[in-house]
Amino acid sequence: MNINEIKKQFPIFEKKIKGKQLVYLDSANSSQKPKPVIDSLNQFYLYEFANVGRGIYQLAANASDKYEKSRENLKSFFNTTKDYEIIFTKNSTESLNLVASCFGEKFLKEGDEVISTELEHHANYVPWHFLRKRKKIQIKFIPIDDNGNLQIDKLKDLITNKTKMIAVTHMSNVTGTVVNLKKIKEIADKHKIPICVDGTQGAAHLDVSIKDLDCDFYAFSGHKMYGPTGIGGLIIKYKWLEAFDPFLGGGGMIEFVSKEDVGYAKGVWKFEAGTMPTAEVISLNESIHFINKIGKKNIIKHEEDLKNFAIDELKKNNSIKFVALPDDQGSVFSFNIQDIHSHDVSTIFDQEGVAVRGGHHCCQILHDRLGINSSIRVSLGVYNDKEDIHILCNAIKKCQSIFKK
Amino acid sequence: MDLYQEIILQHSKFPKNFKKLGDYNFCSEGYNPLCGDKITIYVSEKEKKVKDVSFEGSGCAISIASASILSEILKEKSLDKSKNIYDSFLNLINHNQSNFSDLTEKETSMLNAFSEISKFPMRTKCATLSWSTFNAALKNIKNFNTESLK
Repeated sequence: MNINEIKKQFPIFEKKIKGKQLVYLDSANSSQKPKPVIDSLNQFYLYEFANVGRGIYQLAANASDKYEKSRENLKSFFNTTKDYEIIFTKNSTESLNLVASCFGEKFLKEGDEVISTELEHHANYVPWHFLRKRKKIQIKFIPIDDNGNLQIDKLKDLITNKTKMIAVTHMSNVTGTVVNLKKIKEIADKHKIPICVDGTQGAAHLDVSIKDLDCDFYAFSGHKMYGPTGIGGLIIKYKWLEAFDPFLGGGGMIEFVSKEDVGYAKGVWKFEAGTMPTAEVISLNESIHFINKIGKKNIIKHEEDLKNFAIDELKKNNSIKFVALPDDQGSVFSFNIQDIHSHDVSTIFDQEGVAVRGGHHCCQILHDRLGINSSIRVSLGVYNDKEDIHILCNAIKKCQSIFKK
Repeated sequence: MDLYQEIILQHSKFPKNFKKLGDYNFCSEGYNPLCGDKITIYVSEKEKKVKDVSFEGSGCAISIASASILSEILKEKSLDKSKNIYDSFLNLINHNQSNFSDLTEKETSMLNAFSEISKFPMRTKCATLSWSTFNAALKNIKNFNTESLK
C-alpha cells in the first residue's frame, strides 16, 4: 500500500494552507474525496443526468440502473444477507431519525425504555429524546469506564420487560472505542430486543459484516467513506421495512393516490420519497469502489498502525492528557494539552496547516462523564502518514511555546 | 502568532475579578453552544454607573482574557460610557477598526490587543461572549446564547 500514490488521488492535498501542506486529521468529521468520486459526480451531471424511477426514456433507465447498482454494491460491501435492505437517506443522522420516528410511532408507548450508551453521538440520542418528550419513554445509558470502554456487563441490569430498543454506536467518534456488538447482541437476543447501530464511524473504519453482526439497523454516512455529502443509508432488516409506516410522504413512495386514500410503495421505495440525491448515490458507489480497490482490511491495518504510532509519539509529551485510551480502539483518539483550551489549540494548529476538531464533537454526555468541557480530536484516514504525525507533534510544541507551557 | 498577544496570555492565565460579587444587582450567564464556553457576569450598578463587575466561568484563552479585561475597564464607568466602549469593541472585533475615545492609554492598549481577532472569523464570538453577556445582564436577560442572535 503506497500512501503517496493514494494521496495523489486526493486533489485537495495539492492545496497549501497558509503556505503549508495540509495535514488533514479530521476524517471522523468528514473524509476528503478522491478524484474518481468527484469525477463521477461530474460525469453524471455532464452526460448522464436524468431522474430515477420515473421516466421511461433511455437516460432515465440508465440512471435508475446505476442507482440500483449502487445499492447492490453497498449490500456486498457491508456483507448483508437477503434479510436486509438498504434505504438511501441524507446521512446517518437521517437514518437514525427514521428508525426512532418509525419505530417509536408504532411500537413505543409511555413507560417503555430505550437503552443507549454514554458513548453516543448526539445523532443516536436526540432522536430518542424526541420520543421521551412525545411518548414519555425512558432512556437509560450503558456506562463507560474511565478508559472509555463500554461496560457491557452492566447491560443485563438495565434491561427490564419494558426495554424495547438498544441504540448503540459501533465506534465512538471521540475515544475511538470499538463496541463489542456481538456481546450486546447475545444479551439482547435473550430478551428479543432489537439493536439500532450508529455505524457512522464503523462503516468507514471497521470491517463491517452485517451478516455476522445480525443487528436490526445499521446507519452510515457516505461523506465519511470518501463519498459525497448528502447521501447515506440505513441497513434495515426486511421485517422492519415492512412493519414501519413511511417516514416522509411524497412522490415516489406511493402505490396509488385517491381523494380518499393513499397506498404506499413496497420495499425501500416506501422510504425514498421525492427526488433523491441521485448523482450522490451513483458517486457513493465510486467511493466503495475506491475502498475496495485498496482493500478495506489494508486501510484498517494502515490506520491502526498509524494511530498506534501517533499515540506513542504523543505519550512522549508529558503535557498531553488523553481523553481515554480504550482496549479496542479505532483510528480516532482525543486529548488535551494541559492548561490550553482546545479552541486555542485548533487555531494555532490551523496556522501550521493541521486540521483537527476541537470541542465536544457532538458528544456532550461523554465529555460530561469524563469531566471535561472539550478536547482535541485526531482522526485518521487512508491518506495520512507518519509525516502528518510529526507535523502534529511540532504543532503541539508550537502551542506550548506560545502559551509558555 | 499575533493573535495571542502578551496581554491576552496574561489575562487568560491570571484573570482579574474572577469571582462572584457579594453584592450585585445584575447577572447573566453567557453560553456559546458551538464551543461550550460559559461566562457568568455579575454587575453592581448604582446611579447609572458600574460600581463593580466580575465574572466566573470556563472557556478558551480569548474568552477568559476578554472577560478579565472587560471587568478591568468597565468598573467605575457610567452605563452610557460602557455602551460606547461595547460598540467600539464590537467594531474592533468585527471590522478591525479601533476608535476608542476617552480611555486611558492602558485601557486602549488592553482592548486593542484583540485587533487580530478580525482575521479569525471562527473566533470572534470568543472575544465578544463576555461583552454580549454584560449587555444582556443590564437588560435583565438571565441567559445569553451566542447562537440565538442569528
